[in-house]
Amino acid sequence: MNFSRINLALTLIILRISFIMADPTLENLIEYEQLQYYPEQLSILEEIKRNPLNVNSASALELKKLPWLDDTKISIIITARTSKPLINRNSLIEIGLNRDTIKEIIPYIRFQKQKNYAISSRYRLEYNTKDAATFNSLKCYQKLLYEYKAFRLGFVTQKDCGEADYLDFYSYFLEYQGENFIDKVILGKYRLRFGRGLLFASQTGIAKTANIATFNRDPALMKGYSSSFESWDLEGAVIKFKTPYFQLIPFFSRTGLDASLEDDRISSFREDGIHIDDSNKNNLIETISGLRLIMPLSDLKISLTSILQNYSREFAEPVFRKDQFLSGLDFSLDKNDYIINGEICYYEKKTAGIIGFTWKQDIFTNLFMFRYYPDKFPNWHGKPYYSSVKTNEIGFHYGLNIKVNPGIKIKTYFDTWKNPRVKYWEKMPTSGTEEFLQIELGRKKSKLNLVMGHTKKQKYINIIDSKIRDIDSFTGKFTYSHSIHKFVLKSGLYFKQEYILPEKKYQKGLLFYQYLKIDLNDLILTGQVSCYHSDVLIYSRLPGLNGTILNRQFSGDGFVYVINLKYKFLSHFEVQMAVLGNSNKEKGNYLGIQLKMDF
Amino acid sequence: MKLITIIFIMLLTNTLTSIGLNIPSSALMNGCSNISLLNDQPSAFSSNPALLNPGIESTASYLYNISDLPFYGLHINIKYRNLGWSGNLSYLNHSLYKEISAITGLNLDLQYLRSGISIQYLHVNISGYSQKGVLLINGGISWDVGKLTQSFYWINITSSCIKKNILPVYFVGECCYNWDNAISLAIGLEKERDFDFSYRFGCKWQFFPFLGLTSGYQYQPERLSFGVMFKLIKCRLDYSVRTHKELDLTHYLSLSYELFKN
Repeated sequence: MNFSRINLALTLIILRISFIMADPTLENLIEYEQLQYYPEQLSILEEIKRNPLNVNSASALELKKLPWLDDTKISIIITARTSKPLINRNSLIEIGLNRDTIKEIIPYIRFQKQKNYAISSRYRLEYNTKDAATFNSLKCYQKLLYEYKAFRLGFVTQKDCGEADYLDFYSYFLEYQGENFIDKVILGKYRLRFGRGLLFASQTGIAKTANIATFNRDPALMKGYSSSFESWDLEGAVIKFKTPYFQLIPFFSRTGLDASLEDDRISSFREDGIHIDDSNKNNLIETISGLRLIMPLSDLKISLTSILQNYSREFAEPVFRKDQFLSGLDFSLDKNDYIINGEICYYEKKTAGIIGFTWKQDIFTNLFMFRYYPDKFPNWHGKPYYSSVKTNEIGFHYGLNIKVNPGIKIKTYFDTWKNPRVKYWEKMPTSGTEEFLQIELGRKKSKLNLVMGHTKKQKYINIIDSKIRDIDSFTGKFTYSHSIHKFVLKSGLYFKQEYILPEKKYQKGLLFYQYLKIDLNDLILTGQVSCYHSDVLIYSRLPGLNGTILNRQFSGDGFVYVINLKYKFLSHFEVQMAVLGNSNKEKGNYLGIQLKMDF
Repeated sequence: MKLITIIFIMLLTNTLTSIGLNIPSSALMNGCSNISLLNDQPSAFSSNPALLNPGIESTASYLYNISDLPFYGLHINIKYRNLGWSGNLSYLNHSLYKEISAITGLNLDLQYLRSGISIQYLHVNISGYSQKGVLLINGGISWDVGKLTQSFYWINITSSCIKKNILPVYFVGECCYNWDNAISLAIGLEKERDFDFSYRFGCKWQFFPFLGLTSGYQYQPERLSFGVMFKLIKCRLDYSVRTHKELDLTHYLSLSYELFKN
């Protein structure tokens, strides 16, 4: 009885104290709900939503436009940002703003660092147990980027497994971003991507994708080379001049490449960048001089590019000259209902071209695309439409995207191609067709993705047994993801079946995976388990370190698991660790550690 | 004292009335093609650590109706708020081969998401040859999406070995659609290391509060199963039968008592 009374008394005291100590912002919250906004205020908020305020630079008067911030909160923000920039939602929590206020103001603010400089660095170590016997088996990568006002300085190094030199691959650049006639200048190593990528492209070219928007995205790029891919970098200088009527990009590069040689002549370029034996490293000097002219004419943009390539050695194929002159024209016409874009390139009486026509109508978006790459067309820096395609191909692609509603999207395409020239030996033409269907259901929390693809190839080289044969393959992918609070769960099933015509036999494979992600703001834990039983190569994407590709192809029987841990600390640091375990001892287990620092 | 009496009666009853043995951990698992999501009894934990149903369950059977292969099991699950504990014991007794499996583990229930991890001690005694004990770790997760319940569990995460032979490693994904409180339909995909995928389908129909039916089908290898459930207050009796391609029918009997339920 006495205890009950004491409990009651204590409860009352605690309640009273809680009432006295209640956060004064609670009253403000109640006020917010009762606020009746006038149309003028609404239009101001709409305007701010379109151009959010930078909390690190907005004046007190500007911040006052947000009705959820009173004078006290504004002074808290201004005081806090002078000592340390506010970088995200957590920064606002740390300085004492309550979560409800933050939730309200988030659509109207942005976190842009108001400072003249920025330093970003990344250090990565990777190790695979299968390389234990190899000397210098660690793979090391570091990237350092320093920004000061309009300047950007970068230094990247990479050493692959088995390489002794920590500077086996390095990149350096100084980039200047101007605001007037000189728009951009890069000295050092850089990369270019122009037009549809026939002359200069990214590593993979334009991927064959069901997403039509990807094809129409303007791929133009000119930036310092900060990638870990050890190929396709240019070394020298590039400048972009910009006027209201035209843009001009002269560029020069002189760099060393790895080439496979036959009788001291170039038989092919090597892309792997691995130099366990240094004898072939940079055994070829490539010199490129080029000029690009861009003419923006309202909705139409036309560009002309000319390049002169010189190699220090002759080619084994007499078609390829030591001095090569390539020229190209690319264009893009972007109207509301349709987009036409393409590129035509010319080399030694050979013309390569790609043209796409995108047409939108209500919920439908159509893409008609035609491509033609003649045999033996230079494709070292430029990549054709699809990365696995080299040259000698004529193809047609029709894609259709249907957005029934935000929760239902259907993407499909049909692709057919033919290699008009003899490819492997005499009287063996290669051709193929591909049909693809992707259905995406669900929106934010739950998503269902069903993918089906069918490919028929004639005279195709099978990777496993290196035999030339006709092949008819069917692939199916089923993934279902669901988010519960801080958890993301994803289950996936991949199926692949190949029918090999000369032997008249079926080969099939199945891979099942389960993915789990736990996001605790500063700590993110990701895990995936995949098990497979397959006669054919079956592909799975694995959650590796940020900035790396940990995708694998499997065959046979086995399982693989990945655990990825990412932890952010002291607001500037992020450490990430990925562990991959494999039932197949020959493929080995993998460990990757990465440290990221941003100031 | 009450608990001990119940356990004793259950063990005694099962031992006396058992008419078969099976690999699944209980009669309900046997009757629905070994799909753990359809198992609402304590034995579910021994297959899938993500599932913890408070209570006591005792099981007994003869494997493939072979009287020389008696199999007994006892499962106890306790749950306190979000946290659950499970203890499981099974015993396979043959004059030439004896196997004891003791599983204990913890389960965390976050309303829509459940996860669990268990440690299994497996002791094998091959008459006149060797005795060997090994520890295995199993784990699982289960989550709800409306009427859909999904689960994934991994048996023998550590790929533990006995005499340099890796014990079976299983990966199982399951999905169950709860049509209403009475009908549940489930599919399962099982992958055992070095074997092809196996597919399972199962359903459970509780058409009266005291009476229910289960059935299941497994593809690769093909097996059919049927079961019946009787419930009286907190006690439940399950009986099921399952076919085998080459061997005799497997009968299974389980008796359980629901306790400590929130």
